[in-house]
Amino acid sequence: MLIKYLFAKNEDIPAGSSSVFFGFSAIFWFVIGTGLGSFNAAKLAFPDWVTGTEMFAFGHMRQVHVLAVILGWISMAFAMTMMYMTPALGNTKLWSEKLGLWNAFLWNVGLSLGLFLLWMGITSGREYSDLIWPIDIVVFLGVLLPLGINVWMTIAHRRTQGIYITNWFFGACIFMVMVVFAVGQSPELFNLTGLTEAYMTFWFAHNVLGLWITPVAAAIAYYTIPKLTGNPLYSHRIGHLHFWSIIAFYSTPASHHLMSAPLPEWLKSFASVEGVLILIPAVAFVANILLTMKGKWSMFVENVETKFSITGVLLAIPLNMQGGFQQTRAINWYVHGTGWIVAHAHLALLGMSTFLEIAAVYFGLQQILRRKLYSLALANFHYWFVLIGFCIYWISMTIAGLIQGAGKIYEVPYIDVVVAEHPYMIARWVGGTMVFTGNLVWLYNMYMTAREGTVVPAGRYAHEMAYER
Amino acid sequence: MKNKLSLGNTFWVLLIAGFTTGMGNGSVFGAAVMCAVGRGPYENWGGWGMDALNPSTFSGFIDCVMLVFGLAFAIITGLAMAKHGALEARGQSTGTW
Repeated sequence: MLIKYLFAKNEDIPAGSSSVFFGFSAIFWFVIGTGLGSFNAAKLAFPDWVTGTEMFAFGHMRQVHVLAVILGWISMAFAMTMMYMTPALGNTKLWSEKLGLWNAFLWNVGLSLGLFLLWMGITSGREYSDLIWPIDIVVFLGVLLPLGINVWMTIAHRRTQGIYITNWFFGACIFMVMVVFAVGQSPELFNLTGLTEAYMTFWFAHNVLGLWITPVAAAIAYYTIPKLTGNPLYSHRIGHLHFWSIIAFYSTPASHHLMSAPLPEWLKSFASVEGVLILIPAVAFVANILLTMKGKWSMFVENVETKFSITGVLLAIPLNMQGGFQQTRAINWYVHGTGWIVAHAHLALLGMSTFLEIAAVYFGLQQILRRKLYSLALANFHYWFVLIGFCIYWISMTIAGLIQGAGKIYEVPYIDVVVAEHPYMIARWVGGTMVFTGNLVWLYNMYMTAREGTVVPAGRYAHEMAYER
Repeated sequence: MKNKLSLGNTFWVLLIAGFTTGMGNGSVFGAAVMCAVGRGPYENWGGWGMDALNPSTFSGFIDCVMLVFGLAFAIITGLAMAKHGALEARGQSTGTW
């Protein structure tokens, strides 16, 4: 239904259309991404399940899962929040709803094409940079550039004097991810090989997390928590400390992924120290949000968006404790290349960042559609299934990682390690399937919210209203 | 006003979200200590079916530290929530919040 606006005049397009397009696309890709994750986990738990067909092989499906979640769910949820938060914080309208709609349309088309090619085995062969270069160009020109133009122009046309911290992050992170993406994909274009290729690949792989996924997720919380609680942000200045310490410390920790590679030792040490310094922005962010909750902690158990947000902020604590120290040489020696790292990656993407984004998508869609959530019971079901599913996944993979680490260090026969970690692979599949189930319910709940949710009067927030059905 | 953050109201959130948060911190603390102070022979690494929760083994120590940190974080957060709940209830009844 939003497709009809693609060729409409910008002034005829209702405000928030692009945000709604991005929001439902993000939820759709989240269902696809977690469904693929559940499928892949089943293959690890039950190796005889679905064999003999190349395109269903783990090597094909893993890439599709990873990029469906990063480019589909997480990044589209970011775009969704940028389309409504940036103008709201600038007391203005989105610079171009039409550009936003085309952005969402091209994003869906480009991602579908890219994932289909990966599924068919057409890949650049580099982890996280798996898409082939023509698709990289589509991502740069059809996804990142229009998003950046819309956000930067909206900030430039703001009707407020200052720029709130959320918009600082939005504007800067889009610029940084464009640079990171362009540089990170370049080994394929310039035929770079060996250590250079490895370093540049992981410069992209780490920075897409450190300069895009985690800071934008944090920026979202700087908007949602004050909005939901009605409290002003505890400290804008601590927000600036968070922002500038990310910029200063977190642009070059990439070689901590390659501690055993023959990179220069000074580069690895430098990256490791920068990795520990992530604790500065992390503590600034967590403290700022938790202090903003002052006097409104009861919303943690009463309001589903706050529940999601604060859980995400709490999960940022172990995320950064692990992230800061697991990449030091002593611990990395043990956990590198094991399920521990898979667990940590999911703590970042499915734990901290996803919980913050889910809250912002719930809040934003209700605000834009002017509809109260269709079912609070289903939203709570979603919360508990995603949380319990994630916890089962994370705990089982962390312990499996320790088993694999021991197997690696003591040179235990590989098959013995496979047998030892089998129960944890089953637990991982159960947890992932719970997350997938919760997301299916979420998609239904948001679809019904758009169709049948109680209408929210102008000037009120959805979470302030009682259910009328 | 009623304390909305009683243990009954916050129990499940703390048990799941709080415990996991503590376990995450415990995981890296445990791994750091074991990597720093001693690795032992293979018989003492303590994986599945090998005294996995025996604190004298490598993995067993980390698993135990994760459980202790998880419990500690859940208790600390629970106490903090209960105190906040009491303050908020008092604040709402006196109109100061």
